[in-house]
This record gives sequence, structure tokens and C-alpha cells, in this order.
Amino acid sequence: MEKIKVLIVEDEIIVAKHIEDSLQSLGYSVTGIESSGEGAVGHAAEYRPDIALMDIMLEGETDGISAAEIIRKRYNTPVIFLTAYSNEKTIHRAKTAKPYGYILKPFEETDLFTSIEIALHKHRIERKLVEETENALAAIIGSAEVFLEDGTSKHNAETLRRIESIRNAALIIKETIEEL
Amino acid sequence: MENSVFTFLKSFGEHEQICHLYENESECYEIAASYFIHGIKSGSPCVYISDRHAPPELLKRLEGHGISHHGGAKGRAFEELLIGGRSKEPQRADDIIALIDKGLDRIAGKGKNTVRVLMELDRDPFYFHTDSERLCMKARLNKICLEKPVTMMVQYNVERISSKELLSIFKTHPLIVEKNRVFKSPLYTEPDAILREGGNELDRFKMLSGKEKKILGLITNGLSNSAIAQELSISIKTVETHRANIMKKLEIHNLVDLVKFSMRNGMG
Repeated sequence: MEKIKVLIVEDEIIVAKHIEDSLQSLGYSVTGIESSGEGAVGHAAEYRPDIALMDIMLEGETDGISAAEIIRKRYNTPVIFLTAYSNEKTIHRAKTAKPYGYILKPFEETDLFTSIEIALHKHRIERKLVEETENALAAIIGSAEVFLEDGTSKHNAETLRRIESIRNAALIIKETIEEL
Repeated sequence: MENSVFTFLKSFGEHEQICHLYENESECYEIAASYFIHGIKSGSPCVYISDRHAPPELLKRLEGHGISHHGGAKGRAFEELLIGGRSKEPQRADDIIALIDKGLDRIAGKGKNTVRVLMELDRDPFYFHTDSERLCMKARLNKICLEKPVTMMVQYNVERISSKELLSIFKTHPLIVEKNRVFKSPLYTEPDAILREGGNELDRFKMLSGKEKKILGLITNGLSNSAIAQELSISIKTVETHRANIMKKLEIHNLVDLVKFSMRNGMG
């Protein structure tokens, strides 16, 4: 089986090397080490890692939280934060980037392993949910809209009202899933 | 007056795109003709509505493209032309709108490669109390046509239109021609682009391969990619590639629109 590709985003090179060693001994492949948010985004674009381990405080303008958000949205790459910061404010902000895990430094190798496996599992389930439902939801919403666009010239008003409810309910499900 | 209207037009930068058609200059006929060609190519019924005669120059150009014209209500009641029967002449704009709405449904089913000429009367077919009532009606007519969809051309006498009235027309008009200048709304598609891309919906639909059509049908029925893969004994990756190719060929960018397109073209 192909190795899981992991990106490390960490500006302290000794820590980064340590993580790299741990990951390799756990059987993952490391696509690279980046020390800035901008570098992380560029790296994700080029190497498409399966997952990124991200420090929150980084060199450069973009911090880990912003970089994580961009990477998730643009490349659908899940991110785990790896940081010494555990204050409430930081965690609250970190939540906005919808991370798949949050590892506090210092950490053990097993913390890395379980966090990565759980994050990948969660990410796969979410993708499966999207993939299994997107055509079905499009079919419901699309057909309903064809009815609604034909309007009262072809269908009676009561039917149309009900179809509109179906369409709206499906839209709610679609939006909820897309938020994931 | 003309100047003030178009000075006004220009003051709305973005409205340069939204247009109307008014002048009997020959350049306008050329564009009007392509407008109809575009309509016919994209399979929508075409209607020319005017309170004047359909200009022979326009009809000649259309004939050059193998498009014939029907209708023309000279001396006949407008309602008779639309509905095919004779009854009391409508007096109010709303009545006329209702009639046209009904009439367009009938027209929609008839005659390919045809431009229907409506309301070609020597006198004004509408009994409006004010000019703005008349203009609103025409704007609403256009809206009906866009929803149906019907390609329609309406002539306006610009000198009698106020700036405010003009705006209400712009909201529904795909194309405006003013002497040698043309303004286009986002609703308007270049006839050339349509011809070049092999472009109307049905033509694009025909570009799909047998397998792609089959997959489109299954998507329209709500099957997931993995279910489709199973059904056709191919891999999910292949289904995903097919789905992306279908959307590219049809120039559709989201799944809901894909389903709608598919249903409108008799799949699913």
C-alpha cells in the first residue's frame, strides 16, 4: 500500500526534524518541512499531501490557523495543529479552521500516530458522505427546480408549494454537508 | 432628448451591458437578424413584435439565412392572430399581457426556422393611457419571453422614453442597438459564439458519447458515483472522469444545473 504523505509545518527546525523522524519510523512518508504559512500553502498545492501537521506560530505573515483554513478549503487537505499553545483564545481561533486534531507539545510518538489515523479516518468518512450524497441531492434539487421553473403553466399551485418544501429541505442538507 | 438618454445610459457603467433595440438603421437589422438566428439555433421560438411593419430589410436578411417569417397582423385583430379566434379587442395592457402569455405558449410549439411577426399593425395595437404603461408592458413582455424562452425583438421609439422607464426595460432586455453602437446584457449570447461552439443545448447534448449519456442518466436519477461504477462495472475514478468531461462538454459548472439540463433534454 502507498504510504500516507504528511506535510510538516514548523519553524523550529530541531522540532521539525524530530517530528519527521517519528513519522518515518511510524511508516508515513514526509512530503517536506515548511517554516511559514505561505510556504505551507505552496507546498500543499504542489505535493498534495494527505494530511498536514501544523504549528500555529510560524514565520511570515500567515499564521498556522490561516494557512490551515486555506489548505483545507483549497486542496481539501485535513490539518492537525501541533502546538505548545493551549490557552482558550488560541483554541477558540483554531476551531475556525476546522482542524482534524489538536496535539499539545510535548507529545509522544503514539500521540502522533493516533491523531493522524483518527484525522484521516474522519476525513475519509466526510468525503464518503459528500461523494455518496452529492448526486442524489443534486437530483432532488435539480428535478424540483425544473418543476418550479415550469411553474403554474404546467403544475398546480399546491403541488408546487410541496415541491418547493422538498427542494428547500434538500438545500438544507446540502448546505450542512458542504459545511463539513 | 436622445443625447440625454444615452448620457444617462453611460452614467451607469455596468448598464452598458443591458440594452434595447430601437432604430431603423440598416446596421440594426444586421444585428437583429443575428439575434433571431441565435434564437432559432438555440431552439427558442422567435417573435418580432412591433407597432410598425416588419422592416423588409430585416426579413430579406433572415431569408438569406433560410429563415422564413410568418404572421403579420395587418388589419387583423391582434388577439385573433395570437389565439386564432376572434373576440372583443382587449383594452388594457394587462389583458394584452395575459393574451400574449397564452399566445406564446401556442407559438412555442410551432414552426422551426421561423420568425413570427406579431402586432404588425398600421396603428398602435395597444390602448395605453400613458407612455410608461406602454413601456412597462413591453418590458414585461420581454420578461415573459425570457422565461419561456422566446427570442423577441421589440422596437422602441427612444425619443418618447424617459430615463426611468429606460431602466425598467434594461432589466429585461438582452440587447440594445443604438444606431451604430450595440450594448449587450449578460442575457445575450453572441450568435457567432453559439455557431462556433456548436452551441445550443441540444447540439451540446449530442456531443456526449453513448457512455456519457448513460452516466448522465444515472446521475440524474441520483445514483452516487460508486453506485454508477458498480452498475457499469467500471472504477469510481473512471466515473468521476466521465462526470467531469460531461460537465466540461456541456459547459455546466455544478451538479444541480447538470441534473436540470439533463431533465430538460428528456433524460431521467
